[in-house]
Amino acid sequence: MQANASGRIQIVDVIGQVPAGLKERPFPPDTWLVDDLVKEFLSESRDGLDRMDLCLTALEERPADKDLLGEIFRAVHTMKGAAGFLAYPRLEKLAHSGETLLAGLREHTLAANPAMIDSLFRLMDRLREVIDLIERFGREGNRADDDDTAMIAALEGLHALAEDPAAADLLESMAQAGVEIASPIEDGSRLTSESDAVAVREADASVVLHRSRTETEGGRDAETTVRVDVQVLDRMVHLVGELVLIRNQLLKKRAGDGAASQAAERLDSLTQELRQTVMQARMLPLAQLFQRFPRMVRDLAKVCSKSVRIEFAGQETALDRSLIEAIKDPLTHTLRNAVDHGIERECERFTVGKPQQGVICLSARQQSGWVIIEVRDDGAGIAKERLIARAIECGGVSVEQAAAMTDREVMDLVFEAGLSTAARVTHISGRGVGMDVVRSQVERVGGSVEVESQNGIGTLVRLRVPLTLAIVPAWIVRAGDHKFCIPQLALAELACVLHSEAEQLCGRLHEAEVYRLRDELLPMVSLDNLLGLKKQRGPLGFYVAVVDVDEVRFALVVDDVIAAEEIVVKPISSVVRQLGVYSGATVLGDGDVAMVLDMAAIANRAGMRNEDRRTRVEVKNAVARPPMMLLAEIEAPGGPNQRVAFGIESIERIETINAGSLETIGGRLMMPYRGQVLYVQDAAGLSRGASSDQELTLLICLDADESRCGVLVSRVLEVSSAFSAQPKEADGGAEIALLKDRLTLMWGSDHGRIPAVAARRNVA
Amino acid sequence: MTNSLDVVQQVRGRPQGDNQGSAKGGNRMVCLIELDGQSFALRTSAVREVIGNAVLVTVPLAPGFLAGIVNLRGLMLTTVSLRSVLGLPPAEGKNCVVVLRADAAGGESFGLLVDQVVGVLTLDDCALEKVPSTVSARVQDVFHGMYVHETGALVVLNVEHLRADWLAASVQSSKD
Repeated sequence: MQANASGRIQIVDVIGQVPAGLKERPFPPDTWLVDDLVKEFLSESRDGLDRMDLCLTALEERPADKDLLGEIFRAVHTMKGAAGFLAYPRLEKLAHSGETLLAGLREHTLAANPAMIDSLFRLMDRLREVIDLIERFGREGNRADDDDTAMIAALEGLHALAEDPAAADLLESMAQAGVEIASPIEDGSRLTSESDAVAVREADASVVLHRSRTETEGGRDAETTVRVDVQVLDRMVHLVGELVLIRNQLLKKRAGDGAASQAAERLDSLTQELRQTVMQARMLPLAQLFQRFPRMVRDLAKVCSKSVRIEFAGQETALDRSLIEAIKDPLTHTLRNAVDHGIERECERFTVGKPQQGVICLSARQQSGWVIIEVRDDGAGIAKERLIARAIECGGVSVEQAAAMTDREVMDLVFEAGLSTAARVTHISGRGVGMDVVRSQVERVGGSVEVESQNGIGTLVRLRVPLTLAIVPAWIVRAGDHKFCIPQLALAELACVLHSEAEQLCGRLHEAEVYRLRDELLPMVSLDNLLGLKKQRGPLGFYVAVVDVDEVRFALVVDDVIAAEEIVVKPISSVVRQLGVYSGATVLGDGDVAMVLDMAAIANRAGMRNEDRRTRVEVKNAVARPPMMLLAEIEAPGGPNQRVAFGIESIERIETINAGSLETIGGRLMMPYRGQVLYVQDAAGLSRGASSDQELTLLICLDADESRCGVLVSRVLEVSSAFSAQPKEADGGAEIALLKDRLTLMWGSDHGRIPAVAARRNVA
Repeated sequence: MTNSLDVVQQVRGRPQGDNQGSAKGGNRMVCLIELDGQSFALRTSAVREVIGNAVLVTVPLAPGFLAGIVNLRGLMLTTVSLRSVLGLPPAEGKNCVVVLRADAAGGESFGLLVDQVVGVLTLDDCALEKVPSTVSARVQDVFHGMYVHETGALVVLNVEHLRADWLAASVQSSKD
């Protein structure tokens, strides 16, 4: 290596010597194919088993449901076929015995009895074990305890039983299917090779029948989904990121050349869509995780001899797949606790007048940059006195400390290692090594856990997981010379405060600043002060973001609001996360990096206290929120200005366009947008007489029928839900409402057009 | 620049660091960086790539050693300022970010802000000497060892101790 040559090139050279990709591949190319096939088989089989578990649990309640039987049957059959193809005889045999039983049930429309379901569950477990063996050792295992004959015999015994009472049906159905009929099997435990062959043929016939049925019913989702390696997805995310940067550079240089400019615009919108699509590809619905729980809860409930039902809500909430993996264990643990300790036995429930079946509700939702997962049970709850007594007994807290504790602090004791209030220790839980592990696991991915409990009524465990990589709508704001993102879900309102109004709206209570929002006084925090930045207020005024988070409502002052954008929250290093201000970072549309603010952490940092939270709960629940409106101003050149309010759900994007990209054809203003023609409304003639490179603000609105149209406005003022009067119908179908003491035109999706008449200023 | 090249010449000129390498110790490739006119070395196996004139986004409230965040093809790369770690005033003008690999122990990939990267050198492992204990304690940790040459010493930096979490922990412990 020559030292006097250019340094940069040499370093590249050094890196070039390490073949980046090759080193990580354990197999030479020709074995990849087989390896990939096995890998795919294993993951597909796991999915299949999960699905079967779910169906079997459902089958327990509806034993005669043909669709369920069909689904399980199909999954087992697929597995059998693939196992045969890849030469896993043990799996094939096991799957086959299950398939035979299921086929029997299906053909005779026979109800599955509990013994059958139990043995099918056992079969699923055995299949899972074998699959684990294959994954770990590459073989199915042939040790003494890996003998399956007993299980297969049991299944076949059940099959024979199932056949007997419906022998006539069987003959008929087999005749229809064109299957050769051999003598019915008398003794299920001893099978001859001949009857075995019949069983196989019978099963095959049913599969063919079944196939034709599914095809006519319309394709199942198997044909519309593809398995993709996660590493490929990760790579795609990175590549799209690079594409965005190149696009940004191109957009900055496009000025002048019309054709190049149009191509750049097109590239811009395509990149945007590509980015979103790729990000979505990484997200999985939580249903994927939740679907394994019914089986688990069922088994646990049986062991504890309790009756428990699990309910789901918000299963469609999407989360990055790595996070789904991370919360799997904590959530499993929490559910175990709920079944074992939360829900009481039937007799106990009966004496306190609760329905005999306990209910565990697992719900998920997105809230301000977080996914909240709640496990709520209607069981006995946690007795605070017992918790305190245990903590004192263990020496964790002193008697005086205990007396001074708030309810929340008492509940936090649950997370102390080694503390369990369970009266009895079972093999499922109760050893006191539960909740502390749950907490540490959730905190490792930057989340948090809370427990709320009411003695005798139930317990609620709330997991908060960050939305790393998830796409969230956010508002880009400026404080000092920094840009930040506020997740829109945390925002209640975004208001512009003019310098002239500031005195009226903002006040002081001793040290604390407060903001007057209609008839409510909110604690006010300035982002500049909080972050130690230099204030740079705009010439007209500043903005106040009213934030609702963790049942606290406060006003956050920012210098300016730049735009609304869908952002991708990217993980940041733990050192930055521990500052307790940011939940991540994001790359904005223009390529800039902006930090994403963690509103809950900011509320804590600014000293919002628990008491604020408690009182807010009732207020928030009592008042239904009025619809959110985006308020814009249209200022006719030299004329009056009017305010227009848009329903927030009808606004797709806020774009800044050059006046030159607008064209008038046949008297209508339009422009190309995302490969389509976009009709543009310009009530006040903002585009008339504008030079071609003048920037205009265009709201991309969605009509009721999902078609897009553009509305030119002079500026976007704020997002607010502040109605002081019900909208009134005025001439020409337009609705006028009183918003912030100003008459405001409501942009309705049905009539769509803004009348050229300006709403008159309210001289109040 | 001339200074760094001098170092290159001098270190290479030493009898132990000859081109054939030594049988017992083996050679070590280092990436030579420059900071405030001084040269430092980083082992090349830890270096993933080098970004010239990176755009750094400063993070309000972050500890002083954090220069900011660099957008490395969509990866939010936390970047440590070597100047700040060594107690030097911030540089003006051009900069250079050395991207360091994630380590096996779970440490994330991170960036190191330096003035410029000069080149790559092959050095004899046997010639690596301990840093004298008279060097101030805060710097001691980030120095792995040094190569002595005619006019001074080339310090090899300890990459593990330049990680933001390690620095944060050491700042915390010095406060306690």
